[in-house]
Amino acid sequence: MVSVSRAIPYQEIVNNLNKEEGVAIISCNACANYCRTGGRRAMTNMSSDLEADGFNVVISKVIPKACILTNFDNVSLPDDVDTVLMMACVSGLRAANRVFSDKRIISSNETLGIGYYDSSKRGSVLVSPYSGYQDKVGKVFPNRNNGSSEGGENE
Amino acid sequence: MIASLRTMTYEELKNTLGKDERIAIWSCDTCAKSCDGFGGEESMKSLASQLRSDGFNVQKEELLVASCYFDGIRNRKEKWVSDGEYDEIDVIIPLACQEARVAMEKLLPDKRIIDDSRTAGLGMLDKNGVCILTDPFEWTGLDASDEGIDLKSAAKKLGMFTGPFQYDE
Repeated sequence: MVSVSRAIPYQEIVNNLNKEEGVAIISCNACANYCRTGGRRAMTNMSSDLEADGFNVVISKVIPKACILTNFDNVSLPDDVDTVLMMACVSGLRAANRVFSDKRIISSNETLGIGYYDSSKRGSVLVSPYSGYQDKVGKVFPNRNNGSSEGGENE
Repeated sequence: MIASLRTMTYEELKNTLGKDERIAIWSCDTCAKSCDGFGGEESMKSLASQLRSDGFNVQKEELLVASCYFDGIRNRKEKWVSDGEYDEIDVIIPLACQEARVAMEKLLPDKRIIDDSRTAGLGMLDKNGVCILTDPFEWTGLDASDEGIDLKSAAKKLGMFTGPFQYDE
């Protein structure tokens, strides 16, 4: 179940938004939560930061696993939402593309691959990387030493 | 979710096992279960029953909510040790993803763990409960898309299998 993701720099995310559009934040509470790129806390922080920077966050919602389409059944977006910011792995992004086909969908994360969660390391260890992330194998996401979403020490 | 494919048939699995080996079947109840029933309780019990009827010594059946949690594997190992069962197992058949197997190999280094699955990539569970592979790994040669490809079709293209081990494959 553990996809491994890290956050796209905040500035890159806001460069992809404009202040006139209504934004919905949907945050996955499963794998992305373990990587601190999803879940309630990351969503609250994102929402606060965007609002403080003058963006129009219309709704924020946590869903249990964004890779299960039926988990979107209870997510109803107000009409003034133009863009959905997904705080999930690429599976959640794909699911949102399917469910909200009339909205613009963007992601706050990049997905590095698949791994396992180790609570003693307080993060997810990358085992099987997507292309371009081979050098991250064995690293822990997030990095517990500096709290960033960049990979931490090797095992 | 993780899209897991099975790499061998039941006959091929049997050929990797010795009749004198003490076997544990370790089944994951999350993604692997959603991959056409490769994991989960039903496939675990079915495989245990098949192997026993074919004369193999299945000592344990372990169902984990999610086998990609290092701590879950560690806790189960510690229970085996405290129950005096750890040394009673020679080989483990994981009905789980490749990444879970890597974690198991780290925590259970003295056990032979059968290499019976490959993770094809990430996907989603559609409205019909079917696992759709949307973001395959490069080695698959498959394309990434929102529509994706159902796991059975992916398995066929890759010369692999989905779902539980079956007698008559």
